[in-house]
Amino acid sequence: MTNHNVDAYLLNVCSAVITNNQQVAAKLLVDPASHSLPADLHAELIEVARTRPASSMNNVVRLSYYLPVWVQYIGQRLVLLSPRVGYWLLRKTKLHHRWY
Amino acid sequence: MSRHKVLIIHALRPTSRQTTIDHLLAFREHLPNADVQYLHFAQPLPKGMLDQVEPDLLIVNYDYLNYRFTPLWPYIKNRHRNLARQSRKVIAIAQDDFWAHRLLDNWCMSWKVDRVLTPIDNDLHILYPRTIKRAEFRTVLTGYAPTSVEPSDPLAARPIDLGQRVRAMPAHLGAYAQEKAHQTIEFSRYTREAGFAVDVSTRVEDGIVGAEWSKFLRSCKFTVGMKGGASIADPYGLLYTRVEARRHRHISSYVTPDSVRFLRRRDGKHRFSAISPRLFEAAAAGTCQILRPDDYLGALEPWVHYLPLNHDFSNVHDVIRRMRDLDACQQVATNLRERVIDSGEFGYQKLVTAACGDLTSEASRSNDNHWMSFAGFLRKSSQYCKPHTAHVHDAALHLIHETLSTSRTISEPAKQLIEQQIHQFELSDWFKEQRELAEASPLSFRTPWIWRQLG
Repeated sequence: MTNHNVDAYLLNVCSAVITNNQQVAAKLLVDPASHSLPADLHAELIEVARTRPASSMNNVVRLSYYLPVWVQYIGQRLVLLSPRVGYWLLRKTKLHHRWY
Repeated sequence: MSRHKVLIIHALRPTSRQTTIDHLLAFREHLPNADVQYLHFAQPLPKGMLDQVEPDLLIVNYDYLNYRFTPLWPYIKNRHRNLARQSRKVIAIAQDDFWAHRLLDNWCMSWKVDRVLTPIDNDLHILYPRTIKRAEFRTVLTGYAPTSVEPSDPLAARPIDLGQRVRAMPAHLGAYAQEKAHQTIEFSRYTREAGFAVDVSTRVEDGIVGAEWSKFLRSCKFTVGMKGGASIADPYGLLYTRVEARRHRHISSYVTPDSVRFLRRRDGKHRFSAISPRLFEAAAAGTCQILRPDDYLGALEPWVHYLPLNHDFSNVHDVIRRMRDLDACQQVATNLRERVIDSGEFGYQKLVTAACGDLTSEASRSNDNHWMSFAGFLRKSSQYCKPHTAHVHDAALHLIHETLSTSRTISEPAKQLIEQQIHQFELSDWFKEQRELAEASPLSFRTPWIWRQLG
């Protein structure tokens, strides 16, 4: 691997860890370069790859599936009213990485 | 005479397909007499920078319009609305028009779009009931033949027999939308049983992006496909929400267009179809294509340019028999490449001509200085997205977004490593500037999207 590839690999690992991206983490973990990762980062990557976030993990989102569709539609758009509500929901569901 | 000022709004991401990048760059390549600039919609800009920018032509790309599926769309579409008002002409390039088409129609009205380029050429009055009365519609393809094509290995030297990546489309777009994935899976089963080496997947996580996709196609002898599209129009994306809610309420049930009444009564009333950009990508890679018989650009003939696979698989054994004759298949792949790529008939020039071929009016001379400083800012920000710094760029933006928008502790080793790389690549000033801009930008604060600029 060239230096550029090593740097790119390490930075991809960092991005996957901080954005909690399970799919990318799982791919990076099987890369042969994972053996050269620092131990703490390697442990964090394993942790991210192990937990597969699903929207059903969040009670608010899960309950919303039982509401009429137009209520869900309006509810989704309520995130506009407050950035706090928006990012709380995104992070709570741990699905925010999907937008990247 | 001053040059035309052309601004293209896009939504490139690190995972964007090469077709989207080629599509955007085509405007700069084929408009040599215009100053073409690219603006990512989520890119934070200095306050007031856009106030005096008056482009002659504003082109809005489909990847930006695809954000209409997100709850933040009302916010996104209003962010650059003034820019549309300051432009002399606004052109929208749409794709997947059948999904949330009323939102698209309303956006066209709100931005006063003058011309819509779409791959759909039927039932436009259903998709755009308001815009059709005021804007001009032109039919374009979802992808075009690349200008330069690298030589590829002959089929016999390729390790994979059948290769393809297809997204399994959700049920809310109807049975037709799901047929492509169904065809791919079913055909891969036949070929696997016949002893071929198969690398096919419909899972999102197996997707191949960027230059890797072209490399993958070049390692495959055959690929399978058909036109993409939908047989249900979903006006506001509510059908999608209903399907998703149903899928989550009944974990064990697999929702199909046939299995629920609200889809069954809508399915098949329309058929919106378009040629996939894969046709050109595979032709450029010299891969032999197995396609459902259809009208492909009015130029392709079955058994001459592609192997026809009937929708009911009635001729699957004939196709497999032909796949064993590599010399004949090599000829089919060569015929397709000559017809689609070498002929030059389906190049990006066609898209650019459709978009702005009649842009003959004199360029406006107003606010040239503002335009120059705006273009300078975009050029400067694009230099950090070059291949050697792109990974630092993306990781740094992830770090900015995560630290801005969440109170949870960021992984310390990851943070340190990114900061170390930023310092090593001498991007500290850029990082500081981006952080300040992101802090001041409400959109950056609300969304986790990061942006990639085009050079």
